[in-house]
Amino acid sequence: MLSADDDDVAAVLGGDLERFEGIVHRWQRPLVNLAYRYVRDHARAEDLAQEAFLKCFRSLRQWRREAQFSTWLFSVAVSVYRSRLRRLEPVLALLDDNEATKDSSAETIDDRIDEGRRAESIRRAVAALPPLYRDPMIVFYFQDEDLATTAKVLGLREGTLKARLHRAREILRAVFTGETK
Amino acid sequence: MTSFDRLLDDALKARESIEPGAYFSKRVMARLRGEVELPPIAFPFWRIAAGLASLAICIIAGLTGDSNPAPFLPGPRAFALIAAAGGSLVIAVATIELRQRRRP
Repeated sequence: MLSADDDDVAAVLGGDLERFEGIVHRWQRPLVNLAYRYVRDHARAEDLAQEAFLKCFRSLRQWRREAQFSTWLFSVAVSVYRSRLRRLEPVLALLDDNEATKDSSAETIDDRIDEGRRAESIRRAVAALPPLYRDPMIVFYFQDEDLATTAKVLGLREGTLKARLHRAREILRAVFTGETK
Repeated sequence: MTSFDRLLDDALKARESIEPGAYFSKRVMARLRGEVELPPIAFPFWRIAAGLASLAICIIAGLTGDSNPAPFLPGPRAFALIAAAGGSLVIAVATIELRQRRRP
């Protein structure tokens, strides 16, 4: 049975541009949310998601139906976000907020900052990781910790993905607690 | 699992609900229509041909040219290199332009 995405893609490829709006409606929220995890800013997240939809439109013929449409769409989006962010200044400034949280133990962090601010600091630190580790962390949690889907979206082997996730955690641990394993 | 791992998991698992603006899809569709309404670009045959010819002539000039007769002027080899770079640039620009205007 064809999904709504299959139908819309076939119609767009057949020349009915307006059917692309159905795809935008269904996927705008996930794509904006994914972009937000990269930039932590609503307006910039919308700009990035818009670029991702345009790229998706231009590359629609490249979608091989053996992959789910969502998996292909997310991989296009991640590649757009990555290349757009490469052009921007390094987001290391985001780490500035974490200076206050740097300490020798997680208990001390608990004492210093409230839960909401701590969570936001961690999310910003993830967004400021080098792309090699940032993308796996963001997509893995965005995909509800589904290793197989994350690997497909990023075009990585599961073993490589696990190694990068592990390394990303080590970097974050070092940033926040000063500990290295 | 350490307490830091728990903190990390809790922070990243939490669903942040970012709603796209009310006109988000309209804006995407407007940009898309604008892109589609651009006149179709002709294959930049002459630009690519000129670039390739420039490359070929300059490679030949570079390989067969005499040594530099006047040190203060660019010699044939330097000239060939500059022109070859120019030729490559013309081809690259034409290719990028084609890629950017590609449609489904």
